Amino acid sequence: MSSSPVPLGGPQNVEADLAEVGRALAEAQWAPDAGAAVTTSDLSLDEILLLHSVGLEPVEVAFGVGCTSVAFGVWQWGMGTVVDARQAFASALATAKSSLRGRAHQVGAVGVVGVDVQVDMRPHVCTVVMTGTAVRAVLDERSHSRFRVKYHSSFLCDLSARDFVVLANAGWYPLDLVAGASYVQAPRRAMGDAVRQSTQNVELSNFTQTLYQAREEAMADLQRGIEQVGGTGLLDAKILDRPVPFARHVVELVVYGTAVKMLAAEHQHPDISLVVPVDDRVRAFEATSLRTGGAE
Amino acid sequence: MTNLPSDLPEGAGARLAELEHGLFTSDLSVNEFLLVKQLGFHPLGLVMGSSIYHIGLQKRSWGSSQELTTLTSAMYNARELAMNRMEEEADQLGADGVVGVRLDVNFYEWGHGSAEFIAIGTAVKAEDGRSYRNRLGKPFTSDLSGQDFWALAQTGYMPQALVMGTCVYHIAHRGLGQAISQLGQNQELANFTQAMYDARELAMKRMQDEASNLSAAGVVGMRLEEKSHQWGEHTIEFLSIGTAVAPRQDFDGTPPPRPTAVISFDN
Repeated sequence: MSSSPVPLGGPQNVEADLAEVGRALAEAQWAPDAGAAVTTSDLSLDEILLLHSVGLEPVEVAFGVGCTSVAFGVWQWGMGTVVDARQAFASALATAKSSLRGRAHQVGAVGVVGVDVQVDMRPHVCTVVMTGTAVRAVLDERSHSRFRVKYHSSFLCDLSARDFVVLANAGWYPLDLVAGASYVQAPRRAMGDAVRQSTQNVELSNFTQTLYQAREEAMADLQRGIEQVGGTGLLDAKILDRPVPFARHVVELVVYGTAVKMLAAEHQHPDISLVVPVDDRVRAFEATSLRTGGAE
Repeated sequence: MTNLPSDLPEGAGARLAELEHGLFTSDLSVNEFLLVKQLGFHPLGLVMGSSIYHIGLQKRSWGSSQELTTLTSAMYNARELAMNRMEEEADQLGADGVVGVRLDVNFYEWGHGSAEFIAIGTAVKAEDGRSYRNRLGKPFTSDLSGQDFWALAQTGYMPQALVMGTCVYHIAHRGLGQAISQLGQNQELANFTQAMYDARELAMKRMQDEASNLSAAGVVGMRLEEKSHQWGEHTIEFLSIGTAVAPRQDFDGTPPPRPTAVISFDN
């Protein structure tokens, strides 16, 4: 693996902060809840226990929203990429991320896990909503955090708390949610071509080219995002590939995932053993069956 | 990146060039990432191939069951184009293989009579520098998940290639007289049964032929999909797809670990 590039957007001391986080995680031990503060979270009990195993605990469910207007008429005219929509997405994403990170920082969190990302593109506005659980280092008896990180060094990830812990145990750390989007108008086929090709098997090269272009643009934005936060890779990439509901000749492509970086000196291989679950399927208790007087 | 394969559309180069400098992208989950690393592979990048293909027309005769060869060859060609482009991207990155390949068909409203065929997967490379390419010298492809890939390697096999066979078949309608005479009776509809059998056999045979061309030991994780796409209910595509595997050269014969029985508490 090559050395990581210096983050372009953030301040230079991110590296030093991350080194500290890396040390804290490497030395992390089971840290019980000192009962120092009230917390809220949408994590399962298992996930909370796992977080405690690396010295972290949930603080609260935090969210961030970004709304950007899209100029009038960009959907109807032109060919190729709808540049304005792509920029609106990038701006809404940045606002959502900074408001989520701001809230996390306010409550003394080191980062946010399990971030759910909703992208809603409308004719005149693009909205990005992010919801996740902010986590912090377990507080001691005097309500002091064992370690804190600065605003720019707090992480956002769409990995679950479970995945975060598994990844941290392997020596990796999530840095940021990165995304790329692209909106492309499908080219029009010449009438003559359409008639001539109606019975033939033929690749529509200009369509192929257009969609390739769209994906490349979105992926290039994504890769730029990873480099800007100093990550070396991206895990669990999600690809949303769908027609835009109000402009059906436009294809929306959104790619997002969590930029990660190895903080340990080397990748730590987990011990893997094979297991066979021997439990039968549990029949869930359904309250509705009581109300209707049993199965009917 | 001047020597891009001619088949890749313009613009594919820039993104891949960045990936050659140690940055990786992947749609592997955290679990899959750790398992792929455990086997000594490192992800290189998300690779994809796509083709928008106009599917031709073919006359179907109402009362006869037959393969629609024009449609079959369209489904074949378009998937091949998508798969090849994905392999070319992987080749460009110097990958040993592509894991977790998904092969999809999308129909868009604006593309009447045409469909997008897309193949996406994560290119991986062995960290010890040994080559794991298949017998044709190309990166191996496989639709196995990271977990299945790990389990397969424990048994001493490695994936060779995603192999598939397809057959688009028109199934004859019943004649009116036949339908009336069979009304109210328990009876096997032999011509339907026969048509379904023939179509499945053709699809599976084509897949097996692809596997034997690679001199594979077998095909794992095989599935048989039946879809009508947009052709109406009597025209069905039978697609059989799976991962062809071959014994790995470096296997030391260690048996896979014995599984432990567990009762999980996460219900």
